[in-house]
Amino acid sequence: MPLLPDPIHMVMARQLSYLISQSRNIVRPWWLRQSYHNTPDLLHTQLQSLIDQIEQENETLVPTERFDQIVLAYGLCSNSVIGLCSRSLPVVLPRCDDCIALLLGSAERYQHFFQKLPGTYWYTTGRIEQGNPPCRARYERDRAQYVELYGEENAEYLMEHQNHWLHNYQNCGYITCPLGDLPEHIEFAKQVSRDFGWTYQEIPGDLAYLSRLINGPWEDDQFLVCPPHSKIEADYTAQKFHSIPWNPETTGA
Amino acid sequence: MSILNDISDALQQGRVPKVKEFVQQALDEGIPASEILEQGLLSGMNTIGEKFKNNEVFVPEVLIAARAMNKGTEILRPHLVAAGVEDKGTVVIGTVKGDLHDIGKNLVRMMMEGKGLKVIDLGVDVPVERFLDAARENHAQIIACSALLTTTMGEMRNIVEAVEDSELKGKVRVMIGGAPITQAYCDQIGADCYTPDAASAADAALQLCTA
Repeated sequence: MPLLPDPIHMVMARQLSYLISQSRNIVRPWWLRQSYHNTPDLLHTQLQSLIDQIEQENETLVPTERFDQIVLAYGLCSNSVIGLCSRSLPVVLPRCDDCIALLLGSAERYQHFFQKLPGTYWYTTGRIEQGNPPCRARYERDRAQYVELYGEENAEYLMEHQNHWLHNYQNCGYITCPLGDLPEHIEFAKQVSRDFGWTYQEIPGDLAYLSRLINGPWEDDQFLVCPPHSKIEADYTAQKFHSIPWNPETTGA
Repeated sequence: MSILNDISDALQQGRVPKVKEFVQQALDEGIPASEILEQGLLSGMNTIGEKFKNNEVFVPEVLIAARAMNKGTEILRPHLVAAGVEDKGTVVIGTVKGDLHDIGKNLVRMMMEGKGLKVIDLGVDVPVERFLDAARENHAQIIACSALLTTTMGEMRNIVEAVEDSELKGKVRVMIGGAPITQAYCDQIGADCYTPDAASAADAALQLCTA
């Protein structure tokens, strides 16, 4: 029996909502819950069905209200975006690994910290308030559930095994929110650092990458614009992915 | 034999004291250790592996079953050694350099052990050369590497290339797995085997070792 499912939460809600509110573009947001990255196949299915749904709806709109493109606030995200197809609208996505790069302002800045601060587990305002990140309370909650399901002795063993990776990390990287941080979120990250024996590191967040995602321009070195009748293919280089022609008629998809 | 079924059932429920008690009882009844292993412990672990593949049980159930199997095997080991029972193959396993996650890797290790394979666990953040050195030292047939992050999965290509450029080429197969890994990636980097879950990884490893 799996642990209780995480609640629905969107970890970039504040940043994206702010940027959308300030944008000259008319942006209609759709939200998916965080933590689908743990099940990349499921995230892929969710994203594809969302693209399909938006494209279908677009056909029914009056011409002046139609969308120009679909913008995904997703990087590779465990390779979930690989294989996504578009039929009638361009799909734009940032060339990065995941939301950490988006919140740090660029894929390069994420790589810089990945090298400079190895063993860093990232915390953000969104993850703390909506993302159920690792912390003492979550540990205790999971443990109590294991005791109920498998008994005290097995619970101890399971917790040790499933949380062993926490001890492999050395740093808690708190990415500040350029829109402002709540003191309780910073204190939360500091407490996690104390509880897990990590060094607390405060890294300034940067909205530049998310802002370009919402407003453009979508320079080719930072964004992929996947034209209609194309499919996203991995290339396992720094540019992460490219698009290839895709014909929905012949593939039967 | 009912005692072997009892061992299998207790193992599937992760009941360590019961597994130990039944294994000892089976030995006392004169059942050969290899039979207790195959038809009691490994049979129970196979059932759990199948259920895991079919999403009937989840990671915690596999972990407690694997633990029960290891405790049962500890009792059998001296008898197996005395009877000259050999490992079915040797696997070197680890999480690639830069990646610190080990739940999936440990699960694969346990499932492989559950197939009667000897598994050398190098832990996490393992550099390419350590995989190769350990494969040499232990005469392993397989290097199994895990990655959870798209930022670290590129290391797998380095491992495949290092094996290709060494005397291990043709002797050691490279298996890959982890959440972002796909068959397409396996094909692209020229790894020998990709499996989508821990139970399939153990099946594939046994097949590679006994082929």
